[in-house]
Amino acid sequence: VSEPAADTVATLAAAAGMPLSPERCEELAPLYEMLRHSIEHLRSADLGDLEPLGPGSAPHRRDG
Amino acid sequence: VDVGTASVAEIGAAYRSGELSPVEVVEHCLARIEERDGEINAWITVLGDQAVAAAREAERALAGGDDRGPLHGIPFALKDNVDTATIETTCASRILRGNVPSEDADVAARLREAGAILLGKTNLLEFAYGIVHPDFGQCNNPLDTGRTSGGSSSGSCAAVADGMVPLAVGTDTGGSIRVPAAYCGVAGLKPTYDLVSRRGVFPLSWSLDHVGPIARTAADASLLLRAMAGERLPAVTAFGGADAVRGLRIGVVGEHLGDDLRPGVRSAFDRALGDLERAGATLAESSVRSLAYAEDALFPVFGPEAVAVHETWMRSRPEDYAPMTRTQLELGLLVPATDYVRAQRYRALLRSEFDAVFRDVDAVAAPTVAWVAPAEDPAIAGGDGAIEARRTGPYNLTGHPAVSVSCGPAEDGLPAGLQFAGPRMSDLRLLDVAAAYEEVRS
Repeated sequence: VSEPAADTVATLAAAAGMPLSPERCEELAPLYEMLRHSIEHLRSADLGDLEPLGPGSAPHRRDG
Repeated sequence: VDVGTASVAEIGAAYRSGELSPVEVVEHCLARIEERDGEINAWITVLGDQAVAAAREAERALAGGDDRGPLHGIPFALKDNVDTATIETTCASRILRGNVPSEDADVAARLREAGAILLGKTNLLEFAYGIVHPDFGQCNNPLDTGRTSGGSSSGSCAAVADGMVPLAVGTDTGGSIRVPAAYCGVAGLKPTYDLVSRRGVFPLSWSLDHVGPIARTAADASLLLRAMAGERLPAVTAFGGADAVRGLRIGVVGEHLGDDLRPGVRSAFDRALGDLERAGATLAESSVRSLAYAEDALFPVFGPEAVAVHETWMRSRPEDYAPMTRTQLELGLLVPATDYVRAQRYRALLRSEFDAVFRDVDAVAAPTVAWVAPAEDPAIAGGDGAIEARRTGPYNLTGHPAVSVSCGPAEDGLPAGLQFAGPRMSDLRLLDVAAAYEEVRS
């Protein structure tokens, strides 16, 4: 488990308002690494100007 | 009439001809549960006397000409995250042991109004969040009790597959109806988003949760859906039998045919496509390029939404969750808000690409899961969990309806799932197509 991943877990959990113990951060670090890779892949998607609509709404792109 | 295998329509006809009574059917189901559930563990609560009393009432009503329709006197099960007035609703978690709601969920009330008889509440993965709580234990697969029935609607699918009950209700946030339906060899529909009310159903992720029907056949699932959705459904269509496939344009989405598919599952899927073609369907290659990101978007949506639901207990009772449930909840804290929004924007992209596909084809078909039932459920927060939901989760993101029916055998004598998805509000049509496939399956 890389030390920086556990540190990042601690920072993000605290930022979300729920600080975790150093032991929990260490335990979560490997899964967080998988999540981080996955989110980085999502960040590479070209979303154009799509708005974050819910699944009940029609898809919509802004004109001009 | 063999109650363990008869369709709901056959049981209903037998009620009305006097060949069978609701009491006999309920007693048959209770005997089956008594005989088999020690090995399967599908039920958390079984309503013995209460169900028999309701069956007597249904019998009297039918005899007196008060016929409430096709579900009158038919037993059903509810996943134990669906509120039931005066009956414990645990979500298979220690946290909700002793929780007795004061009101029925909308779906429970609707089914009671339709005259259906609640037989009990079924086992699930804790809070429908992907892992077994040790207090409740794994629900084993009736087709091979050394394997899981899948999740999270494990008990609902296993109980139907084993002939303990003809109909059951499940919930589906990334595949939780369709995955266990595939593993257990039954039919399960994730309806169009919000077609079935979620009021009184414990949430996992508000924007991804769906409530849907599970039955031995797609035709039975269609009857159940009509009662669950009521006036939200468009005009009712008649079941067209095998004709529902003739002239149907079915898209095969290339992105759903990756190398992760087990050979036996791929063969079973190819045989199913052959059956559909012989029955008069036209197959077409389809592509949904943005599917490449679907499994990356699923957790950034439901992880934070699940934290929002569970935040109070995460602070006050973390040790009462199963360890992996707690871990998965805590991972939800680690998704930045910008990535939650990014995932919600991606849903619009994915949905628009599927909408474009549905302008060219009536439905798309794919294997439901890459493999047959494994020994245990993979955790969501891990590689296998993502693969398990790879072909089901996209339709939670888009809100399109998707049904899984049994095909195969695929591997080790076990079935695979064949999934059809279609345009929003095409739920009944999809179930017709699935029922037609069940008729022409080789």
